Amino acid sequence: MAKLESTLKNMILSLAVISMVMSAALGVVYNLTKGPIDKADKQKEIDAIKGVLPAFDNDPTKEMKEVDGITFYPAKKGNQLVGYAVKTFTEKGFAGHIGIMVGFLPDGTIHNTIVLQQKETPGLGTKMMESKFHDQFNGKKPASFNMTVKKDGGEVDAITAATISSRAYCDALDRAFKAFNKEFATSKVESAADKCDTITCKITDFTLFAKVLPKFDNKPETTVKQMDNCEIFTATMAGKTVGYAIKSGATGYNTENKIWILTGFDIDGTIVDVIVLSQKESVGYGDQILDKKFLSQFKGKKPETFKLDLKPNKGSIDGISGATISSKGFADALLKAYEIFKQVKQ
Amino acid sequence: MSNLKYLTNGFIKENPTLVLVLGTCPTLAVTTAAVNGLGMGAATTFVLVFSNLFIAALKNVIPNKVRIAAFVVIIASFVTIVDLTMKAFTPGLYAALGVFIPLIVVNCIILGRAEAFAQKNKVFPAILDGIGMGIGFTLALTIMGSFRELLGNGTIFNYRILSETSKILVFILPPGAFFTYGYMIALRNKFLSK
Repeated sequence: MAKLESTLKNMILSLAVISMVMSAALGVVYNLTKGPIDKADKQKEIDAIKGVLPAFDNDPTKEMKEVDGITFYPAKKGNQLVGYAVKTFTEKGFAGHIGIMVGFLPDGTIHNTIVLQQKETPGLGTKMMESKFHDQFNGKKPASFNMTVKKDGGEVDAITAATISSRAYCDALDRAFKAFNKEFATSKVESAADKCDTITCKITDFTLFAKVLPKFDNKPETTVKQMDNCEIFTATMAGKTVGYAIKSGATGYNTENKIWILTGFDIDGTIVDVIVLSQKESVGYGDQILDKKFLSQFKGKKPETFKLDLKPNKGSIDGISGATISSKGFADALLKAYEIFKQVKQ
Repeated sequence: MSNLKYLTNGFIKENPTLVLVLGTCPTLAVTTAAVNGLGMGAATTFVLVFSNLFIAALKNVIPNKVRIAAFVVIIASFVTIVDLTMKAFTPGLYAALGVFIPLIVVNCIILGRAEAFAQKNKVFPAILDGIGMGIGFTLALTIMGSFRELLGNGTIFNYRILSETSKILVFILPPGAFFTYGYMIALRNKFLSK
């Protein structure tokens, strides 16, 4: 068969037929590989999530949520939230884009981090994938951990000769934390107090008083009185006492750190509101004492009629299922606050 | 005999990387590890064999003036097939080779063999030529990858040979690629050319 002449008709026909046949072939291959590609992508994501969070048994990719290019994957075990995997990124790497998966526990602590994509210099920037570097973030709370490299005044040990990659890593983590905070900030109590342990807990955020007390016009933090390891703050309005905020603590499940709470009573002894200042109970279990659902049951209650103990102990408090000891610790702290209130009142 | 020659031609005598000096971009870029070289070589071989096959088979129905356009459509299709297949079944390797898989489209070896060989020969020799060239390319890339990985990271195919501390980092950086490439061409010229 002789070669086709390069006439217009021949050229158009030949190219058109070749293109059509090839397109059809590509369509077939696309359909064949679509399933496995999706599966491989999903598996990659799930593997990364598994790497950055404690064990979970749901499918976080089913409940994922994307905000501003950052993806959140909630991981649950049973019905308990184990944490959020956050897919974050930075464009500040030495070679541009770096994708990182960060695992946050529900209280905002970083559990682990994994690099998803990077094009950093082999042997230098790629050291960010070594545990020696990224382990330093594990267990840190970005709220109280200055996430910039030491050279820039922060607390992060940069990789030698790869400061830009290290900075980029911090940038990505910071982005993840900010987004996480914006999405899931439950309460700011964690930063409202510091140096909290079994002995003491210092209140640093004085705006808390307005949350637990009736309307007042003095500065309760100036009226502090110590009593039995508790602190009493008096709120006055036009010189008249309107209520007391009482800081008290009791041991819950964690015997190393007490649960510290701030309870506001009005002058009749009604609980205006109660806030958790500090707690280090088990994540996903005991730390539910931070939930509004739990805390709201005390609002407007009079301990004379609302007995400050758990229901199984013939009290009035609905404990948290799976966290009875933490609930009991909270109840003890509240009861202690009420005892102090009674003494102050006399 | 002559058929065998078509096959072995690409190994050393007309090795696409070391003699024809085609496809240098992926050669320099992906050979940071032996496994990358092997993967890139295999992907290119696949495309090379099928594009040679199709072009040799269709050479009479492709008018001369649009032959390059037709070749590119055929090559690009096979590259896309490789791309999708690798993404589906070898995601790890796919991630390592990155953009160089789609870039096989513009790899000169493939268009070069289409122009210089496939369109002038019958289907069977074209396939043999594709296989031969592919193996030659794979061989060169794998050797180069092994060498760079050994010196730069102390491993070959991720199997540790030298101690963790004896690494010459420059060999997995771009300059190392040029050094290695240059020495490989020099050595081949010294020992194998007449």
